[in-house]
Formats: sequence, C-alpha cells, structure tokens
Amino acid sequence: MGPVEDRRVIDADVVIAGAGSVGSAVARMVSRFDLSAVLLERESDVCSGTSKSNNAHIVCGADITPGLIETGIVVRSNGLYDQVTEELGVPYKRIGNCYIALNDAEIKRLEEMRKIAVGNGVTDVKIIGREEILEMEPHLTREAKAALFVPRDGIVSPYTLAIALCENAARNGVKVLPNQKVEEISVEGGKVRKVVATGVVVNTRMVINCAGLFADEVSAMVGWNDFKLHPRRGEFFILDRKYRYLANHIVYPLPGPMGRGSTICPTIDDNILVGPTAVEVTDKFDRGTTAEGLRSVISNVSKYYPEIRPWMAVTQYAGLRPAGAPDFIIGRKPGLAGFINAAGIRSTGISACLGIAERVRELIVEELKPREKANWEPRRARTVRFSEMTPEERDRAVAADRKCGRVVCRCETVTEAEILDAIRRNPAPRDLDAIKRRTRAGMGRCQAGFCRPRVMEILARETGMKMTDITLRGPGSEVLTRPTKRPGGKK
Amino acid sequence: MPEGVQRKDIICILCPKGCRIGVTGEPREDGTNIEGAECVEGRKHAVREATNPCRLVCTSVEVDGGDMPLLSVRTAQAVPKGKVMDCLRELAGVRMAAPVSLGQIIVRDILRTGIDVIATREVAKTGK
Amino acid sequence: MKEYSCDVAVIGGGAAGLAAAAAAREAGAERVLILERDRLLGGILPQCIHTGFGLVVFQEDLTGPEYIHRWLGKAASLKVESKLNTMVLEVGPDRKILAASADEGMMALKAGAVVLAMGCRERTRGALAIPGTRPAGIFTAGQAQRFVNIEGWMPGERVVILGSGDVGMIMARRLTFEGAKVEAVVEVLPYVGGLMRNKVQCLDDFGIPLLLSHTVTNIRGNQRLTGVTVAKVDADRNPVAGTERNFDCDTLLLSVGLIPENELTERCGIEMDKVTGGAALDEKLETSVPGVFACGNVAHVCDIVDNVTQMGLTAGAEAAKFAAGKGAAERDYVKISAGENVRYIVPQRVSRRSLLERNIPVHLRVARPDQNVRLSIRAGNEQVFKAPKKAVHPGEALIGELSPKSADYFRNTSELVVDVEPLVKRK
Repeated sequence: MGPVEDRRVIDADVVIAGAGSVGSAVARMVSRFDLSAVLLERESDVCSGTSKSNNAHIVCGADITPGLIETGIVVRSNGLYDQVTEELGVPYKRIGNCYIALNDAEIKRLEEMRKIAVGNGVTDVKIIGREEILEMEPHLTREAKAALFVPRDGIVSPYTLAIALCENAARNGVKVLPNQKVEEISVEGGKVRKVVATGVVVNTRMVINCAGLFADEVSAMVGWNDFKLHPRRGEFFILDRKYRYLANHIVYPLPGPMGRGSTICPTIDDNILVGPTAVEVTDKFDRGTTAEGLRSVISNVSKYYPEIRPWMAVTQYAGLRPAGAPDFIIGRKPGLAGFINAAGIRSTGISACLGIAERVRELIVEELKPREKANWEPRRARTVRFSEMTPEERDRAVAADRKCGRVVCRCETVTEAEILDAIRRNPAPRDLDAIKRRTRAGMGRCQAGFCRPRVMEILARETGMKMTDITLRGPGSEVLTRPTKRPGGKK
Repeated sequence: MPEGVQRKDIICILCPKGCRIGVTGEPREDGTNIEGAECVEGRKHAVREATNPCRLVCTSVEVDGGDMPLLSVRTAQAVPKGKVMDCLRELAGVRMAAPVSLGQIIVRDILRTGIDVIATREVAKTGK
Repeated sequence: MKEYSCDVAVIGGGAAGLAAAAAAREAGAERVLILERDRLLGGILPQCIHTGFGLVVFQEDLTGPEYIHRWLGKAASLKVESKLNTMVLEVGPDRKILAASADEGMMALKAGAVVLAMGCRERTRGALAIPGTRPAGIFTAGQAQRFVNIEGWMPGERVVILGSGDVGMIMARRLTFEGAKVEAVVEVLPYVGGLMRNKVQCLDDFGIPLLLSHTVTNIRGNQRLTGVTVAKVDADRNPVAGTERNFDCDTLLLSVGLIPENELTERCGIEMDKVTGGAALDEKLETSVPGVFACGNVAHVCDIVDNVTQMGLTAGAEAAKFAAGKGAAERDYVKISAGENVRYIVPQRVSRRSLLERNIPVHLRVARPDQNVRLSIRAGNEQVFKAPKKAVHPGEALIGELSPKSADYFRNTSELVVDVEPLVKRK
C-alpha cells in the first residue's frame, strides 16, 4: 500500500486488532465504555479467519486441562453464552456432547474424564451405558460401549455470532474497518502511541491484540515476542441438510494427543459438520484441503458413523487454528502501557470469546479507568429468515416489501430483501462470501450455481460496484474478468 | 502412397460409433481412397469434411436499449471452417439497437461467403 | 395469502413445462398455469445459443433460443397462463401448491393435476470433494454459460474444463470464441462424455486436448485460481501417483454431471428412482401420487431437448385427462427392469391395460459404451422388442418400443427386462 504519509489519520482511544470471535467480543465490550474505538481487520470482512472455519462446538469446559487460564475462562464464558446470544438475536442451542468409548480401556478413561469435568466445575456430566447411548444416537456404531455425556455443550453459527457482536459494537460507536492489516505499532516512553495499518494510521493509547493466527506477529511489534504461533490445519466436510438425521448430539471419540479428534457435529442450521483433522503446517496462508486430510476425516468418522460417505457433502473446507502456545496469553507486559494481549487462543476461541472479553475488560478498567456509557444498547434484533417464517408471516412481509417474495437463493430460500438487508448493515459486507455468511445465499447444495449472478447483480445495483469488481473475498478474488466483447482485459 | 498426397483423418459425427475415416487425396466416386467408413452416410460426411469443411457459427452481439444486453446470433448456414475466427472478429464489433426480431439479418453476406448472420431471438425495446 | 385454482399447474417454464402446458391446453384443460421462478420463461434454452435443438421435433437444426421461441409462441397462442418470479415452496400430495411471488406475495394454488418440470442442477466441486483451496475462478459450465451468453461477462482467460459432457465441450468452444485460452478438457472416464459431434467441433477444431482417464486432483490459488493438478486415473478412477501434471489457469469449469432437482418431489413423499434421480414413473409419466406427473430433466437427464419436449407433451396430455376426471386409476402394473448394460429405464413401470392397447416408448441409457449390440426387451423368455445398434454410448439415450402385437406375452408377465447385449456372444 502507499507510503505512510498518504494514509488517513484518525484518533481512537482503543484499537482492537483482529475481528474474529475474540476481537468482536472485545469490541462489543469496549463499546460499553466512553472510549472511542476502532476494530481493524486485515481481511475484507469480519470473521474471515479461524473463527469462520471450525466445527462451531461451544464447549462448557468439561474436557479442558485443569488449572489452565483457558479453563477458567471457558467455563466463565459458557455461563454468559445464553444471555449474550439472546441479547444479540443469535441462535444457540445446547444440544449436548457425547464422547464415545469403544473398548474397556476407553471406558476406564471416561471415569477420569468425568472427574476432570467435575473438577472444572462442570458437574452435570454423566457416564451412560451402551443401551442409552445407542438410543440417543441410533446411527452410531453398534461397537459403542459407553459414553460420557456433557449436556451443556452447544452449537452456534460462529460467523453469525461474530457478525452480531461487530454490528452491536458498531451500533454502539465502534468503527469497524476491514482491509486493514496492522503493520506497525509505535511505542514511545513505554507507552503505545500509534498503530499503522494498510490504509490508516490510528493515534491511540490502547491496543488489544486479538489477531488470532497472527497474534504472535502483532505482539512482536511491541517487543513482546516470547511466543510463536504456527497453524494447525483441520479439514471438514459439510453434509447436506438431508442427512441431519444422522446425529442428534455432538459426538466425539476420546481425545488424543493432538486434541479432540474428528467428530460429527450438527450445525445450528441443520447441516452436519464432519471433521477436523489436526495437522501441523508452516504456512499461515495454506488454506486448502488435501486428499489425505479429507480421506482421513472420512475414515476416522466412519468408525463411529459407518453410514457417512463423501458424496453426502455439499462442500469441504480447511481451517487453520493457532497452535504453539501452551495456554491463553491474556494480559499486559510490565513496563509497557497501552497493550493487552488476548493471544494464544487455540481451539476454544469461540467458546471462550465472551469470557476473554470479560478478562480484557478487567485489564482495561485497571489501566484506563473509563466511564461506562449511559446509553449502551446491548440488544440487536434477531434476523428472521424467510425460510423460517410461517406462510402468514411471509405474506405480511411481502405485502410490506415486494422483494421479500423474490427468492434469489433457491437452495436456502433466501430472498432479495434479505440480501439487501445484509448489504445495508454496518459493518457492510461488500463481497460474496461476506453476503453468504450473513444470509446463507450460496451455502446450499448447488453452491451458488443459481444465485451467484443474481446476488452479484443486486450488489452491483445497490452499491454502484462494477460487476467485474465484485469479489469472492476481497481484492484479487474478482469473479469475472471482463465483458465478453472486449478481449485484452479492458473493463 | 505417392509423395505429396495428403491423407486427412476425419472422425465421423453422425452416430456414437465415431468411425475414424481416412480420405487420401481428392475423393473418388468409387470411394477407393476412403477407408474406415462403415456406412454410406459416414462416407459422404467424410468427403464433405475432407474437401470443404463448414461450420455453423453461433455467438452473441451487444444490443442497446433492449430487455437483454446480448443478442444471440448465428450464421444462416455453415461457413467454411477456415473463416470461423474471422467471422467472430467481424461480429465482435457489431452493436445492434433494440428492437430486434427473430431471423432479422444482422450482417449480410459476412466476409463475402454469401451467408447472412441472423438473430436467433427477439429483443424488445425497453427505452432505457 | 392469495388463493388460486387451476386445472393443470406446471412447475417450471422451460422446454418440458412449455410442452406440457401446450399439450394440456390442446387436450382440453381450461386453465393451465405455469409457475416459473425466473423473470422469463424458457428455462435453460435462452443461454444455449448453439445448434442441436429440434432435429427430431422440427427436423431442423436450431439454436436453443430459436427452439424455445416456437414453444413460447405455441403456449401464448394456446392461452397458457404463467406467473413469473414465482418460486414454488411446496407441492402437497393433495395437489395443493404453496409458492412465493415477488408480485403477489404468498400463493396457495389448488390444482386439478400437477406437472413437475423443474429441470436439473449441476454437480459441484464440493460433491466431488476435489482437494485444494476455494478461490474465485471456479464455475460450473452452465453457470459460466449464463454469465457469457445472457449477461455478457467472461469468467476468466485461461481455462481448464473438468468433464467432457456436452455442456463442458460447448463452453470450451464458446470461451475460445470470446478470446479465452482453453488449455484442456479433462475426463475421468476412458471415453468422451457427450456427443462425438461436440468433441470434433468444439475441441478438435480448436486443438483443445482431451485428456481421457484423467482428473483434477488439486486446486491452487488463495484469492483467485492460479492452477490445477491433473493426474491419470486407474480403472477404479483413483489417481495414479507420479502422473501429476500442473496446468496454470485462472478458470476451472466443472461439467461433471446434472442432478434432477427433486427437492419438491421428495418433500411431497413421491416414490423416487435412485438411479435416474427422478420420480418413479409409469407410461403416462404419472408419479406414485395420483395426478402428479413429471417430465423432462426432472424425471431423468435427457440428452436432447426433443426428448424433453416429447415427455412434456405426454405428461401434459395425461395431466389434462386426469384433471377432467378421466384419468384411469391403474392397479395392474408391469415392472420394467434394467438388464445387461442398462443403467436405467423410463418409465419404470407400465400399466398392463396400456400395454395391450397402444405403443409405448421406453427410454433407456446404457452403462458403458459398446458396439454391434442388440437392444432387446423380454417378457420372461419371450422377446417383445429388438433392434440392432452399431454403437451405443451412455451419452445418447436409446428408445425401444412396446407394442400390443406382443399382447399374449404381456398378459401373463409381471416384469419386462431390457438388455443391451452383444450381437455375437463374447467368450
């Protein structure tokens, strides 16, 4: 990008680096105070990193290693989940989680796991026998011998949550700026002064590092570089809704050395997620799936659900979770004012984000002693989808606005009105994946085959963007190259 | 085979068999220089392809003021295969104005082939 | 909620729906209503600007738009009604239809008979689980065709096409015509997927290589596609290690299969045929729900639009009969089964009454290409139809015929078996 002198200069009390689930939750928390705040996100939309490519399992803390900072935060976070999702109009369900034991050695481990759960404060776990688990999960392998049932584990749409947190933060005054990668943080006299990002310079007095996979790089900008993060890739299949019947709960094998293992996890939208793998990689931009990874997901999960087949999927994806830190790094560095790390968040980011925000709040209050806003608005109206409405509700909606009757995405039954509503939000989605995450247009079995031209037309019309400027997810991912009659690349 | 006499290999398109038919030199009435054809129609097709292969050209041209931005067009008959890309270049510069009727002549006698390019659809005027 | 009623409701206004609607009107149905989700009638035909349409029905070689123009005209002159921008959300077994319309809001429509003509959708990358990244630049062939031919945009400049079905090959030529470079067409089977005519006129004419027994094993590029890996496959369609080649490209077109769009059909509880992907039908093209008929690509993926039209004409006429109370409720059916080298047959069953009264066409698809074979239909050991074929190919459906001349055999049989067997027995 251009020289620093050409970048827009703004002032803000607080800069939050990274708009994943952690950064979004922190932004909402910061918006409660009389502080001006900016949320910087390097990608073209909020929630574009690890937070959007995981299995959306909200853990209540049963299986986290006891005594970690992570443990206390996850449990605390889970306690807040019902209230916050209700305030923000984000669908959330505690469908429960079963760890399946296939043999006597595993059955013994269930008792240890139960003790750990209770020790972590999750007292309502119970060990259930073969008959009961098979009744709860009729499609589970008949080899299942017993299970540990964690009733308060749940599911949410992680990007719906992050987007709702950001919209609420924005409504309460936070400036959300996508396409802004943090490049430099200036420290003078032991105090943070300034953040330089792709197209903007922010004079500030507090930076909160929520940069996920890149949190080590941001932290190093202020000389706090005693941790190094590397990506751990997890590959997933998303199964067509018609296979929702396969599982009633989240189901896992017993945890192994690399973490929880491949699972089957119903989603809040009634798909089924199958995965992930756990493979260390070096490149933080290595976002593809692999033949071996996909094969191993199927072979691992079919041990538990023998009916699973690759062709049941609508698509696959890979997510990179940050590995390398043995525990959450949430705090300040002695001698450095104005910098808080919320880093080293590994596989419980979405589960923990509300708790992390609370911990960061304590640190902000300590350092800045801000006033609370008198008129902070905690609520965000739930988006009611056409696909969820009754015929009478649909009727009323179309009577008020014709565009509520024009179905644009036929697989997910998304109307033009919903696309327009999404485009008009703040933060404003300006590419197809961002619109997809807000509306589900393009997530169905035809994978945007039908709706893509229509959604692009609506986006172009509404924003004045040229069709050839519309991207999948930001600069470089333009969908169309040129008009047909102009070879040579002229737009 | 005498020097300099070309053998052309044609894949017949008339039925799924897709016979590979070789035509050596100028096709003879008795068909002795045609090998690989399994039926009369195939032989006839091979002769046509070997002597004067022709193709229908179907493409689109821009249209202004209509209910669609593009007008689909075709050559009324097949043009010599060698002229196909030139026809396309010629048509890339054509711009029509709505309304257009089905069968309307878009370009008369394209590249002096004696063949017209015609509209394959209607485009109504919208006055935009 | 607006409430309507009509004699025959046709879901989908493409080639199948237009033919069905026209036939229903001609058979005497008073109110025939097409429900179409797009803003224009015509289905996929308006974007198929190449020829190959109407060879049977009109004995002419027309482009898609020219072909459908005739059916649009016919439907209009017969006063077929239509509602555009209308998405059907549900078809009940009582033939009550729920639809959403931009103009009229929610609609409940009571139909005397229903014709399902929703067509098909394209198989996606996700359904094949091709590993790699998810960049911009990946399209299904039909989706790219819509951008190029209807909207006037290029999907990319340097193209690899996976799948040698007709749509893929047609797009290879179309993109070449518009100035893109098509690097290769990659086909997992050992033979070309579509018509030989397209292989010659879309690929050979332009020097575009066709790589048989190959597939795409990896996709690269984070924001936009930068390349794909292509490898040879073995007899089980598994990639062979060491045969990988890289193709630099910015566009990948997928032409890897069409899937009849039967969400409405399944939700209605209609019995399906797993192989065709469509409803199980009888000779009237009636489904397992009385008064609900299916035709065109929603019943089974057809190769030429002429077959789609013919199915539409049958279904429309029968739907009109049913709506007029003249549909005979059949109970005595003869099953039609797929025998040697037959992948599927439509219809899946025939009423014995019809077998004894009239000629009934049987559409089928072979599983593998073969040469010098005989299409044969048997009732038990008795042959009731035979036709020699020089060559057969999965990409070109065959038609057999059942005639009342074989009445004696039809009277006592419970099953008819269709085989495509070698003329000379192989060792």
